[in-house]
Amino acid sequence: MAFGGLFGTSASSSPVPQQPKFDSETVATILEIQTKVQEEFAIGTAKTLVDHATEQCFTKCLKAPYSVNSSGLAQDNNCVESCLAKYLRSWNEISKAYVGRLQQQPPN
Amino acid sequence: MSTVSQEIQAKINSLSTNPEAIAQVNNIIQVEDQKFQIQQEIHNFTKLCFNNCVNINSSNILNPDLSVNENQCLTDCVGRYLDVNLQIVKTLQNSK
Repeated sequence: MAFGGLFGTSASSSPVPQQPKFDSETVATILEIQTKVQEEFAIGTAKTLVDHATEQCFTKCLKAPYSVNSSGLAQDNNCVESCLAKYLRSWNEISKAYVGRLQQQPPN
Repeated sequence: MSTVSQEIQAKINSLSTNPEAIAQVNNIIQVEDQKFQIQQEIHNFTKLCFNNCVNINSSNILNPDLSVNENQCLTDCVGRYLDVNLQIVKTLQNSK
């Protein structure tokens, strides 16, 4: 997955074209599409977060054989709660580190 | 997930007589997709590095904060991962 993109040379999104002026209906449709697209990607991102955090916190908080009786469920729940908090803080930390790295060392 | 839903596709189709509008929409999708891909990478780093850096034990089980060492480990984990990524790309390029 060699990183490119975000700050890559040709990546700057095209400036809004000056010549073609769309009629208001077309502009409305374009904006509507943009909002929808952003929503769908946001849902995809949220789904990934839920999947990954579930896997991590399941692994770190519960032990086989996973019977309800084998571990105090209340304690599991507390563990999962703080695990998720740690996970979200980790996400922020990683995000900062990754973006910082991309900025200090442009691709190629 | 670089494909859009049928709902969006239908709206895009309604612009089909206007190639410039289509171009604009494609541009929007491309930009959003790029943001999405970067976020997915952050998700993947987080999963990998959280697994290796963050320990949950009886003494910190109820603590929502990360320790200083855990934070440092997360940052270093991303850095070393990208080093390895770069090294692999270089090695493959040289072996061509």
